Amino acid sequence: MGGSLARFALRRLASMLLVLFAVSVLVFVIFNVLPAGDPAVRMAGKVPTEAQVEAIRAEWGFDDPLPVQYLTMMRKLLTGDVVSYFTQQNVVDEILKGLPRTLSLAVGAAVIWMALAIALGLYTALRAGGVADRLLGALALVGVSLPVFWLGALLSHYLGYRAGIFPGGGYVPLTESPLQWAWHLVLPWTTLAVVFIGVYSRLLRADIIETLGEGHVRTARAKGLSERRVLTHHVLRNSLLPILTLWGLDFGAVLGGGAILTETVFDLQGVGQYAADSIGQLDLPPVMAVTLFGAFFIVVLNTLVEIAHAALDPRVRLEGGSRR
Amino acid sequence: MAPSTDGPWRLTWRRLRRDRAALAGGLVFALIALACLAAPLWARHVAGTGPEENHLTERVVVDGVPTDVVDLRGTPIGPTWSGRFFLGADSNGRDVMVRLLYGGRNSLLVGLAAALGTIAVGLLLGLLAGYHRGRLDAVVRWALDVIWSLPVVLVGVALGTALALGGLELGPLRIGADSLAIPILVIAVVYVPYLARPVRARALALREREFVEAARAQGMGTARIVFTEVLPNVAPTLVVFLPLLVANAILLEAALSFLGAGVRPPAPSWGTMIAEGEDLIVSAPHLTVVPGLMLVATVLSLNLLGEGVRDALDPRAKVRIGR
Amino acid sequence: MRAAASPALLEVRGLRVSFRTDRGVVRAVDGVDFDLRAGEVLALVGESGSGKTATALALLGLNRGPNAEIDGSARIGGAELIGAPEEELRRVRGGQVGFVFQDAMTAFNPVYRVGAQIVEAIRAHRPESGREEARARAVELLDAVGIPDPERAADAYPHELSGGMRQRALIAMALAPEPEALIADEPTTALDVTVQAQILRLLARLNRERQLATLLITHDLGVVAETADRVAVMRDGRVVEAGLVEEVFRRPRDPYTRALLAAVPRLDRPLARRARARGDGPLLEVEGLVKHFPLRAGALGGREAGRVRAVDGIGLRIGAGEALGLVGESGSGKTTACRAILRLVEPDAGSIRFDGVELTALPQRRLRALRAQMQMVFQDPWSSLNPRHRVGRIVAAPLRVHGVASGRELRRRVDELLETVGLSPADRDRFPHEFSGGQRQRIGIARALALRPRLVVCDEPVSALDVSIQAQIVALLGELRERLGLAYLFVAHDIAVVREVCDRIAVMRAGRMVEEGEAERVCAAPREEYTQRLIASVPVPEPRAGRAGPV
Repeated sequence: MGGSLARFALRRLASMLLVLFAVSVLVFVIFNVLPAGDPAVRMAGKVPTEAQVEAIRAEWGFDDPLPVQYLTMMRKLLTGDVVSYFTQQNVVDEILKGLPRTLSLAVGAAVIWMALAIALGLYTALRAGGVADRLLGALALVGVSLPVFWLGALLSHYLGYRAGIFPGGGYVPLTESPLQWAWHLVLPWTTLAVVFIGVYSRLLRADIIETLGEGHVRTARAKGLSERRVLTHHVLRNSLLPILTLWGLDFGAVLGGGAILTETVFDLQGVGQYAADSIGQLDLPPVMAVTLFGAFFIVVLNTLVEIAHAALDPRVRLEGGSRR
Repeated sequence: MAPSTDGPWRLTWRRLRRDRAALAGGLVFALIALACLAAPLWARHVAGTGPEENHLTERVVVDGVPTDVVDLRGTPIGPTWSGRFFLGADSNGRDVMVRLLYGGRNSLLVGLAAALGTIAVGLLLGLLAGYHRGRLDAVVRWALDVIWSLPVVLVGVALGTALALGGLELGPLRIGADSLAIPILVIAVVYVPYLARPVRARALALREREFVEAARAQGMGTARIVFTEVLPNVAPTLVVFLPLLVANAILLEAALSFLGAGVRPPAPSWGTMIAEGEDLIVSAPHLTVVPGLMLVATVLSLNLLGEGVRDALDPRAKVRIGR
Repeated sequence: MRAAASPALLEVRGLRVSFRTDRGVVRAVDGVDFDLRAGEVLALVGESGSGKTATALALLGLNRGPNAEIDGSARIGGAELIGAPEEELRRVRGGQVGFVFQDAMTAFNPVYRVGAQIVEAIRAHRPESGREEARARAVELLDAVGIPDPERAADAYPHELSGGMRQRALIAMALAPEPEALIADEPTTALDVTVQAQILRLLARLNRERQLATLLITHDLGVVAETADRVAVMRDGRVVEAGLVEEVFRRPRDPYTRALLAAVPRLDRPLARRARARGDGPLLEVEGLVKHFPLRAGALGGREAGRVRAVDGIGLRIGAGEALGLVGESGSGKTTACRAILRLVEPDAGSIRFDGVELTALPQRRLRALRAQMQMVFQDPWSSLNPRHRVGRIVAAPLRVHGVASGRELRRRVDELLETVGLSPADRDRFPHEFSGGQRQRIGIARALALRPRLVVCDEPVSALDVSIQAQIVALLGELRERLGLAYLFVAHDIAVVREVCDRIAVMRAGRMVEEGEAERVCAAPREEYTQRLIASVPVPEPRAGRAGPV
């Protein structure tokens, strides 16, 4: 039945293009329409000179009507022709430099949080109501309540600086030394993963408990299947699906800018930190670029996740499907 | 038949009352909120100073020994556990306890206001989309998709930054750059899809229920049906989401303030305090630990309350929020 | 009559199942005995809450849990099942006893193909069979249960099959490991009457061919009479009467059994003569009513890929005080038709004249005023009342909407309505969840009568109720009609029920009217082939000597 999947994918892709367009317009509105004052002055950064401001106005076309301004912005961003007036560096180059670091952080954390969340979720679901379940549930709740940046700061200070077990911050490229690369990332991975483990293990637990009560699980047992097979083929297979979908979305969000806090605290010099530093300097072009590319990435990943979901769950392919 | 007249709300309340964790959460949150509200009282009568007053060059008596509030190396004093500088001072010589309480006011205000804003917009959109379906629903769903796709923190940061210099100007609407309204607006908008989606799903399901059809058969107008028939059945969803929304709004505000895109200095907020404390974490860890603990306590108590409410309303409901 | 003398395959003695809930201990099964023999169909019949499903599940240990207590004995081929360790039970489940659940849609796992799930059942008990072999066997089974194009069905997902096909596939899956016994829990309840007849015949044939011991659980006495050899009647967890079907049906000893048999609406039972109120001129005239639903398949929704012709040009006529029954299976369009008549969905074409006034083009304001005269009673007692409103408010709502009464007068009217339907004014302050299904239907009827309508449209008002409650509500509706001179448009899928209430019957199929006429005539001497098939499919609670018939 590949036909229904292909049709679904096409529908999603078409929708994706529209959303991308809307997102780009939104970014434009946020940066150029909403704020009061002269956009050229804003772009120029903290201490602009008259000449700089004039140059910027001409380059970005701030005297043109809004739709033309939008097109200019999109053209510059998509061709990589954006420069930070504060640092004089090409924004897209800086983003590309920071990308491997952000990727290292996001991918590592995502794998860790997912693995642990599945293990914890399954464990607590099967022992629901027991002591272990309640304890782990309490821990999960605490985990969800922790501000990521605070946890990072504490971990970095106490386990890094004070105890000296892990490095307090910094990044070592994978190509230089895989061991050091991982060692430097343990604390950031932990920081980022803690919150998500809390959320996902509870979600999975609830999902599994609900699935356990469903008709097809009872049928599976009535067929005489072993408990293990019932769990893997009929419970997990059905429960994991929505969780994996959400995981894809969150992973995209982290990569698209959600890692900004962790990167800043651990000084990983990734894309997020680049944006954070620029904010501190009120340097707009980098922030604008990171926002746009981050959003684009999220939209594309969202669409891919939805298509993957449809590939794994045939019911979703029907018109309307099961919306979140 | 037993003469019980317990409505669904009363039954829920009874179940909630039995949940001690949830009650504890509610109590703790209430205490924190009260303490923050009483900030001016503490400032005036106990600490004798305001949240933004510097005492860089002053000396204070600690254990009988006069000490610099901020010593020559820039290290401020730690908690004195007495009236002045109860929890110590920060790098500018400001009283941490006072700032904590005032910062709490800002954080809680932003969190609550944003949550209410989300509910107002999310409820409206969700109801419209779910009840009317058709084209209106398609448009709303698409708009929600767009907002949902935007990276939460990044957009908050982007807006905060963009508006940092001159504030907001949209036609006749003008908001100053330092106004709390900006983080409130940003956070409120960002969380709308989290609420609008479940509300929409509920409204969609309710629309198919026969009692809604019965209302139409009686000749009730749409507005009346939405308010008297649909809304009371959507209310449980809202009640479940409220504490969770507030908790996440507070966390997001802290994150934005930490990055400099939320509450603007010198106004205090738990997020800015953590940011400021981070520089001195080696010599004065209390500056980071204390506001963080307050944050965790507040958010945790709200989460406990939220879980309790959800279990009391429907033990099988699934609710999810936040990154 | 089957081989009654063969030894019992399954012997159940003193089976007891109780559950601990937060409302105390619930005794679902309270001492049940029966024997199941090879080649025989034993029906376990009872209303909801009688414990029949709990009994069946307990046999295979499927309702074990921390809050469940199961004692007694159930021996299959000499081996004890109650309290047996999971390992042993697993071999029995599927391998010795197959289970067919009620709702095939939820019984199958939606993410796997049907064939794969059957293969899984085979390989669970015969791990040595290869995948190819198992799949061939699965296709064979799908064919054996009467599914056309079994290869394609095996590759399909459960939601891609029709209800009847899915149920057959479920039966195939239960038979795949070649069990000696089969437990079928309400296997046809979710199906249309014509499909039900086919599935029942299938079960009977399989039972005969493979000499299975079949335990059939149902609430439908007609099904019992048509398919079973022996019957055990359950009530409140106990067996109140058991024996050969002929015996129990012809000479019921227990008063409950007798009441149950009496409550079933039967096509062959003569009706008490009713005084038929005859008004002057038709109250409702419908002509050429059409309602199509477009199937959207565009990229962002909008373009049509086809239409569902729910109502495809029907006409009917109801005189004042007259009751017209509209009968049809699922998908016939009867539900859409009654909603279109009330303009709860907007008709695409056609004319609807109520008391001479054309409804289709009527502006909202005038329509609203007329709505007071045509009210509706809904099907689902659990969804037709707003769970957050008190009963008094629910019944008073129509009066408030039309500004008919307020204050004390309003309360008085509400009390009067509640009493009319057999409830008490004290119920005014209660919430719907405090009432049983039958009582909720009464509340729905009270609400419908509030504005003193002349026409009441009843959309499957008793389908969701137990047989004995059904009889009460049907009696109430009949009585109200006489007392208040109401006209009914009574929509249902059960033609026997319709016959009890209505003067005339119209049969609908695929959006069109197939036949119409006096109720007695249509039931006794149907003219159209579809109507004949429909009536022939209705299981009659009258045990028949031979059970032949194509599957």
